[in-house]
Amino acid sequence: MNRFLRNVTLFSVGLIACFATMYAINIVTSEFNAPRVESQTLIVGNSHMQQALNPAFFESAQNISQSAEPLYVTYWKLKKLLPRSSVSTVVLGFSYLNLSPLSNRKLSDERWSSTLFNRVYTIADIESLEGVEVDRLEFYRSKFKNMCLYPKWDHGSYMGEYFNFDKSVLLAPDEDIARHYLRDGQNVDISMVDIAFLDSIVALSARENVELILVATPIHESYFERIPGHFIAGFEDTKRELKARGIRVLDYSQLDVVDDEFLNVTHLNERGATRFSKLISERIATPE
Amino acid sequence: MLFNSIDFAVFLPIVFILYWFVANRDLKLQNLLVVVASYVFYGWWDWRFLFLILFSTVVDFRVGLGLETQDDPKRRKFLLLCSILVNLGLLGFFKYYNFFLANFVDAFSIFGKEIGASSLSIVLPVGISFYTFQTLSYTIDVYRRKLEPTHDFVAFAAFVSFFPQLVAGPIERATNLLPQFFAPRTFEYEKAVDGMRQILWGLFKKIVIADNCAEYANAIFNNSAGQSGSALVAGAFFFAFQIYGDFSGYSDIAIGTSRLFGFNLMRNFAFPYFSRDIAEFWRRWHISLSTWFRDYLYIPLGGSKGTVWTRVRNVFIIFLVSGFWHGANWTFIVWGALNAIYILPVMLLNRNRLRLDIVAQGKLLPSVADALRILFTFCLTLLAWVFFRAESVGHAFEYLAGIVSPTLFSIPDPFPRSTFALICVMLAVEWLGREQEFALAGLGLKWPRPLRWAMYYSMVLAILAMAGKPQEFIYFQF
Repeated sequence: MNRFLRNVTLFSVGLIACFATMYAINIVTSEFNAPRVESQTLIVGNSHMQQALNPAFFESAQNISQSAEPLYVTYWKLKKLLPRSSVSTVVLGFSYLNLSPLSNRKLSDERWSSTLFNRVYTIADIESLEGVEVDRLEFYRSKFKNMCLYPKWDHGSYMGEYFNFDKSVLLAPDEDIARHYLRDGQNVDISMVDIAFLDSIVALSARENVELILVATPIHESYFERIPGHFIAGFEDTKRELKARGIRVLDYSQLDVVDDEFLNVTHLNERGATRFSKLISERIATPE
Repeated sequence: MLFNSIDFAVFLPIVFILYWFVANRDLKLQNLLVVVASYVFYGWWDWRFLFLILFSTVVDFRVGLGLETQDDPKRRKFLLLCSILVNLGLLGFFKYYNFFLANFVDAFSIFGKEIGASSLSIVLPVGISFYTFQTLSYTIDVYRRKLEPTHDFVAFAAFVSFFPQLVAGPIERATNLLPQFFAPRTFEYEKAVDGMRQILWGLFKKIVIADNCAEYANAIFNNSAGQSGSALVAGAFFFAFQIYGDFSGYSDIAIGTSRLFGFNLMRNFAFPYFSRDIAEFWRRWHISLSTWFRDYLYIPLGGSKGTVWTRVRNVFIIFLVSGFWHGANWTFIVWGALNAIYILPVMLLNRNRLRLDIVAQGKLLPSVADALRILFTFCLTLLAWVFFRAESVGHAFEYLAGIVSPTLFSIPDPFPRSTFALICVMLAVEWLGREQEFALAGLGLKWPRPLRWAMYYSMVLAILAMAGKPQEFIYFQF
């Protein structure tokens, strides 16, 4: 028995030492090889922004938006990137959907949580995340897998990039509306967590001396008509408050966009993105 | 509690330490600890169903004692019948009630009669099919006077609920496992190390092979309409390795865990995908269930003796019942029937015991003829797995019809190359270890320790790094 226990202990100690060594190596590589933004303009947000603004049409820009990205993830990304970059303007996607608490459920959602954790394991501060349900076990599992098993050079999977499609598939918006604003068929309330993180992003930008511009990307008329009234009112109130604080808000949610320029009811396609990118590029180049 | 969970990783060392350091001086105390640990293990999932196990245990314990004192054949038969009715009654209610009800209603509707009957919301207790068969083996063997009934309730309860094999087997025979609860246990280093190696290999098969295969197989089977023929074949292929990795992995963990506690469980899988004919496959796949049916159903029915008609009937009965044991769905029954059709020619021609040896024994590679036989047998099982995995019989036929299309010869897109490579690694290790009890049993035993440990470390890291999305063990639903 003693021999067995000694060998099991020895084996376990070796394994733990191996994990610790890998962790130390990955801490170093994640810092040493942390992503840096060399562009002047940084485009951030969820898939709406990812597919709406092509940085090629900006003077010096990088689009790091990613699908299903809640505002707190955007905040973590900016917190990591801004101090070590030469960014002077942050273009943040901000729309009706950003006020929905349902987009915050991604960290506990079976389909999305591991994808999100695999992106943000080096920048996430989940312990201080209040009001958001988090699958902590899955988070630490992702972190362990990415940091403790083998040496990894690239830890910047939270950096997205622009991509798009040259097609248009416009379906009835019912499914999107239900996914974005309804829980068990009932309207959800506006998320105070997102309002709070929006405030944090505003404060962070001010602290880092970066101009923050909020952009609402175009959505299809059929979708807009189905957005619950309190979300429209909440969005307008938030917009007003932000403007009062000197933040530029470019609301193009109801921009006149033809069907052929939509990928679906909430995303632009390649053609739509080209036109919209030029428009936003001109707008942000012109001081108000 | 799942074997591949953190809960079990904490539970096992605690029970191990208590078993060998606290309860080691008293056999009864060790058995009691096994019972408590087993009930905690099972109750972790749903404590309410513990009463079901306890009830089954009490009934069969009492029946066993009754059979000991009873000499009247009629009364003995009555006692056995009580045990069978109680156990199969519970199984029938929890597992098959809604199935029979739905089919009863459907049957009447064919004749234009509508019956109003609503199905019940019944939760299937995990492992009920396994422990029911295990405890039945006890009463049947006592009835046949092959086994002395036990007077030790704790030992009997430990036999029924022994946690390593409680929820998904191997379905142990009372004649093998029960006496082990009366034998003094001494810790054997070699046995424990062997157990650890078997656990490691089981975890690899479950977490790396089965869980990764499941992602692709689920994606294909859940959206089979519109898939290319080659993608459908790939879906069935990955399911074949999902179910093998899942179930044989579970069995390896169960057997390995038992060894840590000084117990020897029966072998459940013997490299079935290297079988050269379907009879050999069934001697190597889910051995504990196949032999259970052989001993308690097939042989009492007459087995392979009697007229051709009797033999055909017996083969169909055993495979249909085996299919039905897996679940209350016609897909399992068709799966069983298909296997009966496969094996029938072999049985009728008395060629079912042709290949009792190990394929290419003592050689590195099989002969061309053996390789072709292995491939043919694997294709037959692949076809049957489509019925096993499909949602309904109609779905299975649609799936198979989808395979027969010009797209059969296209390259499946997407195709999980890395998972395919992992399957190849697993098959290579299993091929090299096919003459052993389990694939890893002999691998590296003579290597110097640093090399051997490097292999273990690589496996642990592979399990952690290449784990698929965690899936529940398939056989839990049975």
